[in-house]
Amino acid sequence: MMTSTGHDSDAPEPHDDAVPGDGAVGRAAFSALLEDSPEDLYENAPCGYLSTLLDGQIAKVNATLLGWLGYRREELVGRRSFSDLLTMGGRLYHETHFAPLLKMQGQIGGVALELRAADGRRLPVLVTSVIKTSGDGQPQLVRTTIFDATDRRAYEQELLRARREAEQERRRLQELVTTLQASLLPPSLPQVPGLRTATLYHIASRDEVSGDFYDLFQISRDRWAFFLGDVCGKGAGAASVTSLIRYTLRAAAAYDGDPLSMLTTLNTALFREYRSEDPRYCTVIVGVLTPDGDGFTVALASGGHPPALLLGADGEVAFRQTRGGMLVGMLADAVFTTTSVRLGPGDTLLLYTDGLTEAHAPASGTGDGRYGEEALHAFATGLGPTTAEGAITALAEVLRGFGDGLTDDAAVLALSVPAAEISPSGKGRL
Amino acid sequence: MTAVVELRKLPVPSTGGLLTPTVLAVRGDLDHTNATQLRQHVFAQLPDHRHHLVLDMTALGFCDSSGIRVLLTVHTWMNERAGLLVLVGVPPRLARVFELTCLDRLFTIRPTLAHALRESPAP
Repeated sequence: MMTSTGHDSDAPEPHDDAVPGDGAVGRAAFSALLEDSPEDLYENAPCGYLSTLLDGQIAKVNATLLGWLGYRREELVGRRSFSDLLTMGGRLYHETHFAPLLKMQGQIGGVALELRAADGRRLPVLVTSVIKTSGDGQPQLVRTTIFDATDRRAYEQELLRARREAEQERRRLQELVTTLQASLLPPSLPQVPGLRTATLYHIASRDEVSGDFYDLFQISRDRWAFFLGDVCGKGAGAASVTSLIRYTLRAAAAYDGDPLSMLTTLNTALFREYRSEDPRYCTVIVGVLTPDGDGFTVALASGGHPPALLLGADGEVAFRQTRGGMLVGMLADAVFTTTSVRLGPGDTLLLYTDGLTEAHAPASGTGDGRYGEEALHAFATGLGPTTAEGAITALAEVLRGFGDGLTDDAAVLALSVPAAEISPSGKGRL
Repeated sequence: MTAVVELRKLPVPSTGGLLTPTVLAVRGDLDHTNATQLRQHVFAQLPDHRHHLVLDMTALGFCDSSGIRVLLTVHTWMNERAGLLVLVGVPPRLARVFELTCLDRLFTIRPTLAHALRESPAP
């Protein structure tokens, strides 16, 4: 059995097998095997064929398309027009775009439309049409090929769905982050008699929970405690640590009311809770406010946290160094340092996380292009005697100035005692 | 803005009868965007037995708290295997952070790679 045509040594031309009906046995077998009579090719092609008159009436349709749509030939030919097979939206598009363009250009290709089958099913298709003209160029009829685009449409819809889902996930994540973040910070600071408070909180990314935290709360009739810190790392892991820190410090404050023991309790909790597989650490500065005449005594304890900045009523600005306090959660028997600050009328105490001092600020003139403690000191000096609100408003402006340079989260807590009452003459006011 | 950090393994001459350390040089900025990646790269270089690791930080530009967490994780891991992590060439700003957080008491810090290599622990 030969399926090749290379046997006809008597043929003058070796490659004339494309000529039909020449009677050679091998060619007939080849032809029969392929069943490629033009009629069969038309009827059972892997795409739909449709010929319509210029008014749209269907003149000829192949079996493939009839099969897809579930119509009998006599239901369509001479009875329906192409646009009858389209969905309502498709019909509109056909009328306003497809038909005019076809008329103008003589052809139109690759248009995505939907056909409506006899049973109401929608069939996504790609349609190409050409106008057949007579010898003298007069348009005679429209020939249309129709490709089943179900797979392609499904693919596109899958892409769309995946994208919508991703967007929804992202929105959900951001909502979750916002909610979680809110649960880690006090919604507003309580009113402390004789004290002004203000805060600033910058979150570097809406997709990740910040590791910065602060709180201020009452521990006895006239004493108040506060803390501000930074968990190493960020995200969900950091959030659970922040939550643990907040409750541990609040509980420790209620129990003891001493900043050093608050830190020690926290260190033990962190060290035990997160020792092996996922160690967690934080730097934190803790303070307890005790009323003292016309101001407060502030007892401070620090575990590896940047020093607090005191902006005095006299214009003096000084860091309250708390060097020697360890990163909290690092060692079982950690050592922390304490200091005491007198906060009198007109004094402001500033606590901050290193997101502020580590911000990219090329203009600050530091060797590594970061804002730095020196710049913060200079800024505070330029500010002069201020209030908690005044300091925070001015710092917010500084943060805005960093723009994209503010890559990390930053938290600032400001505490101030209102300046002395204005004298009756009105003098002495700044 | 995403920080870029590179980790390069440096060739080390055999230290004779001493435990030959792995020396890794860190270059670039280290923050929360790439800390996890760096940690994985460091651990990929470490055999799971007693070991001596030297991290050369001379070319480390910036290191935030996420980076410090990586150092602590590596330190703990080495400690648990009776190994030793030595930091060399700690940049001044990071040295101040170490001082502030007392990490300078926890980490073994040497000024240069030569200092660290002279002190390789006995096997």
